Amino acid sequence: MSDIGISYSATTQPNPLGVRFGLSFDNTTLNAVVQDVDPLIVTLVPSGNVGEQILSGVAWPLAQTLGLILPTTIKGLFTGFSFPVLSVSPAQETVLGETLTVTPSRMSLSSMGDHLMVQASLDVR
Amino acid sequence: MSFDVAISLDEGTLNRIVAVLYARPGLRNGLFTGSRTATVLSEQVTVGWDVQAVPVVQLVPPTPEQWTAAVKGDGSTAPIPSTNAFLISFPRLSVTRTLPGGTVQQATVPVEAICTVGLRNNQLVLDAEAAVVDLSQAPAFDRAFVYPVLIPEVLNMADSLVSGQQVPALSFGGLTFGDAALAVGGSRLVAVANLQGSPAPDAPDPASLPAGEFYVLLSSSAMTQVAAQGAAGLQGKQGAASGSQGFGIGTASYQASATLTRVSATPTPDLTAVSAQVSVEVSASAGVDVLGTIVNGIVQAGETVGNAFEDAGKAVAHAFSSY
Repeated sequence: MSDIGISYSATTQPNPLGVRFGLSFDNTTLNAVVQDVDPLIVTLVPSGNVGEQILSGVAWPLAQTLGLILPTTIKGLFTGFSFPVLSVSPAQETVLGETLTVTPSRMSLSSMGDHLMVQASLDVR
Repeated sequence: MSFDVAISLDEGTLNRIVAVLYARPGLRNGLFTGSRTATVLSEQVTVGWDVQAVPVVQLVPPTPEQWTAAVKGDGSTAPIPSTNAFLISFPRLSVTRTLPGGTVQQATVPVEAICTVGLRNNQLVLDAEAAVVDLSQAPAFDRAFVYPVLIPEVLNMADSLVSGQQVPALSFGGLTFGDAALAVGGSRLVAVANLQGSPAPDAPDPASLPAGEFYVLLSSSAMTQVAAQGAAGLQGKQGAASGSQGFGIGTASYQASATLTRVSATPTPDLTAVSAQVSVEVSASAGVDVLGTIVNGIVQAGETVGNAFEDAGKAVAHAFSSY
């Protein structure tokens, strides 16, 4: 083969990367959803033994290309990521054949002293 | 407020539940009215009852007088649990008594049921324990049928009206709690617990907690655990980029990957957001095809030379043809 291999040592700045999650409701589930990710820079430095012509003609220009592509790739790993904090499910009870359903609605979030407060109205049908 | 989770439900919500049940025609006839025939003091007597007004839940402890007048379903006045108790009032309970001769006697009385809230298998359970009926001035015959017939029916109604099954179920992201402590008062019912592994909290003073229809409070420790476990789902996520790009001396094919390695997360001080720190590892490599570029150059050069010969031949042919 005619391929000449180039290796890179890569660093990201900042590392670790800061990620912020906001809390929001999806129906009656409180989720933590990624809101924003710190801007980041990926720096690639060719490593290994390649000739000067390859180094200056390919390796460094390619490092610049990858430095532009990889931040988007990394940020893509956070896109849409979320996890549940609390889920409130409707309650159902049957009394003498009559079904009663208590459904949470109008959920809201606030800070209450050193606690997180999740409030809901309950619709009874 | 020393607990990791608190769940509060107010009496207004329980009263709306009771009102909805009371309004159902099927229950109006099946639960709130009825009759039973029993032998009372050697006499056959038919006792009927009709709840003529919506029962009312009062999430306040019974008074000492109500405890004194409380009678259990079996007619005994044995000790009744005095913690986590509340009341369901039946403001207008119409009672009829049909005697063997067909005579019907009717009276409308207020009755209260003392209920308790507890936990079974970590599920909230509300139980009717005793009825508050003042029979001190009643004749022996009245006492004789009220105890075995009416009180069990009142307690059955109270049991049917409120139960732990009416409280919405909660699931927490990766959290497990230990034993809960309950408290009733201030028109609300409150359950508190600590994270698994911590001692159970003391029963709270409901008055020290905020008012509200239904709410959950989560401590900073609980949120820290939720954040750490939830954000850990990022760990190991991997992305890749690949492609090729031409340069003057060759074409480079590149492959790069990024992996999220260590993840730590904590809630913000006001607990309404989460902040995470994520370590990233990147690797990249490329291969340069120099020979391909040279061969392509030679082919292009050959084509250029060939074209030149062809052009020259045409020119010579054109020169001869002109003679």
